[in-house]
Amino acid sequence: MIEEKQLVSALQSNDDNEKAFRILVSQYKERLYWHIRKIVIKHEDADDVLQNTFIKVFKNIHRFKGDSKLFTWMYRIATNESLTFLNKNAKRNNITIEEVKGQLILNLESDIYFEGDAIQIQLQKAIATLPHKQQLVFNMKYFENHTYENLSEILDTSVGGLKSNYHIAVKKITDFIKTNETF
Amino acid sequence: MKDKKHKEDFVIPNDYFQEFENRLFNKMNIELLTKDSGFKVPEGYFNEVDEKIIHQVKKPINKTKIISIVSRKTILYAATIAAVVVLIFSIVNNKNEIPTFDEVEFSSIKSYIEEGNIEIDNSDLSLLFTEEDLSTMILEENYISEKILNEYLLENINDTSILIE
Repeated sequence: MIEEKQLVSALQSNDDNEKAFRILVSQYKERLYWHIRKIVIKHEDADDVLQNTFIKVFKNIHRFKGDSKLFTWMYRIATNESLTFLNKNAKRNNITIEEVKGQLILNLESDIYFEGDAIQIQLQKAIATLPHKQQLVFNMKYFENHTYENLSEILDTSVGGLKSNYHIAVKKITDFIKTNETF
Repeated sequence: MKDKKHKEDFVIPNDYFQEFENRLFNKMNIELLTKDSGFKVPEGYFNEVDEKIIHQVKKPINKTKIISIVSRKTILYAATIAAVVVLIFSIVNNKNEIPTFDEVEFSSIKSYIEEGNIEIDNSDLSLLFTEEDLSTMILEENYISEKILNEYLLENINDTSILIE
């Protein structure tokens, strides 16, 4: 894997930054995709948001000052893009972002790109009941195995705050699954 | 006997063992769940998405332009539909009252004719003027200034010999 500093300076140079950008896309596309997918749920939407995320990264790479890691900076853009996407969807349909998420989860069973069983659907339903910040923290910790330190940088929250967010999320999800046990 | 000894030596919170079980099973439940979220992607998606992204990045300006035209068009369509709805509504509401010529705005008639909604030629037009109207128009010296007339002729008449005259 190419050194991050090298990659950033290649991306910020005006000549042949396409080659560097190709490396960036190939290195981060999967991780960013799965992060986005868990927020927007549908594959087609995740595909759109992933493209928009990389376009934003490319357009704004000159503004990246290296205060944080490139990876966390990109995660922040991906998170913002995903939330903006859900917000637009909610506004268009005149409903709340939570309702949008609820509808998306209801459609999971018929989604050809979802192969989860009853437990996995219940888990997604449980996650959808959480406040947004807790959803992010839970998904990133539980499925993507981020460290609290990484999460702290991406979500701009203290490690202590994140730990309590995660534990509350786990408790709520467990309670939800217990009371709505269908498997 | 051993249990009794422990009970005498250490104190535990009330209902500790009941709560411990609950906590243990709660923890186990979530930990036993698969870490596979169940989400899948189409076959070969991650091999193809790079090209899609590069393609988008290379044409960001064009893309923005297309969006703006589309949105203007959408507004135009919406406005047209709204205008038609208002028009139909007003026609339906006023179907028993035919407006008199005096009630119609002059500018509306003008734009109606200018938009080519009515076929009218010069001879039809001339019939609308009496002999007296026409002579007044010609005699009225300040009605069209020399300069404006010249400009009009230069722009609209191909045969410039008339200007020399």
